[in-house]
Amino acid sequence: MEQQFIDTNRRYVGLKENIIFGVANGGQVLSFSLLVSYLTYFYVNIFNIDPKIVATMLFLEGIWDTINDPLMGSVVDRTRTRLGKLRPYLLGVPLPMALATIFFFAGPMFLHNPSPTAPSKVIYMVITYFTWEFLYTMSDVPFWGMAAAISPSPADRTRAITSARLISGIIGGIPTIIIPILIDLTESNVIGTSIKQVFFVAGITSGIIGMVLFFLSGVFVKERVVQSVEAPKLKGCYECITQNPPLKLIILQNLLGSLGGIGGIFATYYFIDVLGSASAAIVIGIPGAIVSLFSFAFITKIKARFNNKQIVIGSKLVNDALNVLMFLLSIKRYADIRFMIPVMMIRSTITAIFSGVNAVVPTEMIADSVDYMEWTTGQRSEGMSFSVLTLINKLNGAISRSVAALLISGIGYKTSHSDAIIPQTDEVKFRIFAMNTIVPTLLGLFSIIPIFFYDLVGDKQQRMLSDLAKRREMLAEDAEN
Amino acid sequence: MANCPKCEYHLKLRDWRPNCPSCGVNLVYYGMEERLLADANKAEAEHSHFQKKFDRVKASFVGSKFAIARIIFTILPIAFLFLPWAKIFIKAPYIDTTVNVNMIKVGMKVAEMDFGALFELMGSEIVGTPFTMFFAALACMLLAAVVSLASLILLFLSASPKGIARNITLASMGLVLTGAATIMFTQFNSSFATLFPGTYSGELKFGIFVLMGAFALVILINAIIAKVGIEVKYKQTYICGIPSEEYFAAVDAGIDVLSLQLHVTEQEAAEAIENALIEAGIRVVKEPGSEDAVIEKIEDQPLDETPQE
Repeated sequence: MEQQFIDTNRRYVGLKENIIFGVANGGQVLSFSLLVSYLTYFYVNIFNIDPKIVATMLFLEGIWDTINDPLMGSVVDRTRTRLGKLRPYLLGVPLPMALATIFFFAGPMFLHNPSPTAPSKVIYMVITYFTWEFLYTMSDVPFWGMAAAISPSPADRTRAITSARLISGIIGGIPTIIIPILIDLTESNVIGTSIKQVFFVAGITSGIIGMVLFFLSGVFVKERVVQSVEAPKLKGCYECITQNPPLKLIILQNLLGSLGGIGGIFATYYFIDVLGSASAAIVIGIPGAIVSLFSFAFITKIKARFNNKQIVIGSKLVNDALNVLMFLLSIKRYADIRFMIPVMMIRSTITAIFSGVNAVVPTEMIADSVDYMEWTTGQRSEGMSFSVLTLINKLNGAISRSVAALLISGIGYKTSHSDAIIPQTDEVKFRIFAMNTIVPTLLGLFSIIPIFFYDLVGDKQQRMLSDLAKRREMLAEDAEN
Repeated sequence: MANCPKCEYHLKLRDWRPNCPSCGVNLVYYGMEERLLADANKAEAEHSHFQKKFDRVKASFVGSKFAIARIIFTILPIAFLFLPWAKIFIKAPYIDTTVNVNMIKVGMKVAEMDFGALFELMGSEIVGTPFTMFFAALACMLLAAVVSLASLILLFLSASPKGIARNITLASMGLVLTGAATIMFTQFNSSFATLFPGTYSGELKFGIFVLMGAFALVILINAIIAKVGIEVKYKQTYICGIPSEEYFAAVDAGIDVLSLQLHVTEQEAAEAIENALIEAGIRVVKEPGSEDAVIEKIEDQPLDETPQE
């Protein structure tokens, strides 16, 4: 049968819908970035809960994520309603999520027990945090699944993901700018509020505004790639990982990349203990931040010349080459702030050119793997695919943080209970510099290997899209008849 | 609430299943072809309108060498704001200080919201007037900074009908504000030096004059562009395989484009729409690169064209 109405070269998603998709992601990230940026500070300093209890809760929550995320993925994949399989969650989650965000930050306003181990506060913390996390997963998995279901056209998906990454990057940064200003104004008594009131109001604002924006995705964003009429069995949902080689390669790439994440953690130590200036990081990041906004405009040009596999490998190699070059150039002057600021500024500005495409392409590759699953088994697996990747990213963060914590004492780093910052020896400073540059670069190189085996590009991808288009038209005809 | 597209059954909120409770049709799949084609036509029509705006923005920035030069000239005032504006010397018993007045210093004071001392001095009977002049000069410079930023941000609208006028107005405002700041600082200087001879002296630095020159350059380049013009090259867009102008002409003529697209390939649909246009007596003429097309009526040819002797 000649393919008639599903044309993967046509545009199905209009400009308004693309912008709404981006704004919705921005709304979702608004409360996420507020919570994640200040989670520990809020619980320990504002709510006054014992840090060990907070750490234990976070650890248990991490374990809960390994069950919750794939479970949510399978629930989404087995959903069949007249609105589709993803939109019901985008419509239903915003209200409880807004309430969960407000209650999260309301604790210190209602519970005034001064004891850091008060059972009422601990129970409140656990219930509100687990609820918020559960609802966030329930919003995140279907939202990113929508990136795969919004259109049969890969170019449409690229535009939708670009819009989401760009707009959420701007909106998500708002709490990290406003909250420190409000904290400073509160501390200096310019505004007559307490810090717990600042966080409570921030929670209400981000919860309500964020979820109103997120709700727009359920109303205006359509699922255009329809699912199989019959929902898959639970076992079938998990097979989307075991029988999906492209997805397995992406998962392996992410896991191997976790060790490269220690660079980010040692960056803080490098700026404070070696360069002697924490705010230097902000100055260094300014040109890169501007370039990264414009980098989204290069995506179309880059994708016209290179396929996703080449982009992932190429940008990683360029980034690694710059890190190695920076290490070699700075080996004698790594502690000289006047030398390192321009060097790091140039490095971060060049890598920022690829930040747009690096934000979009990995999500696109997961969407392609969802298509692959449909091509080979007839079942789509947006829920499971995106939930597994969300889980892997959380695990990566946990692995990076724990390995970095072990390495900190391993390199001879000295700490003191009376001072946060104590002088380190030159040898330790050099090791910190190496842990921020060359070591994570070399460790992270392994993450490219799986991508060399990724083959869902070029002719194979075109064949897959063409076959899927014809099959979907036949399914539509059968279902209508 | 929606109705079933097949049997028109009124679907209620509780009817969440994918099948219609009345006729059993799969609501997700039924009419999918029509919905997808309608979405594609709508998305491509939106893109067609947006592409015109994008082409004008592109021309504003890179439409000619003068447009590119305009970007650089518009950035210059922002860069030159960081040059030194003025210098103040205070020499008294136990006090020997020099203050450089520039964007960074003023910006930090604004960020700290540290105006208490300044407001107190403005209220003083002795030094109130000079300090009011000083505050006004600073306010003018800050406004000039805002205006220069606004100029850069609004540059993307330069190709709109009022774009050049707006650019020149903003640059003129910047020039006037900087000039006013210069005058007011000079007034503050001479008043304060008269009040505290030998203790206070101040001078304007080169930065403020360079800034005025930069605003003047922005006015000049916009005037040149207004004279020579910038050609906007409009990219041709397509909707369901035909030029977008023909699509809009077909829709305006009442042709049911969607029904012509159903159950055929895109090429067949394009041919059907073009045939429908000809049957409706409509011809769309568009110069390559131009913004709008001309819709012509195809007149009927007379049967006997032989001129009578």
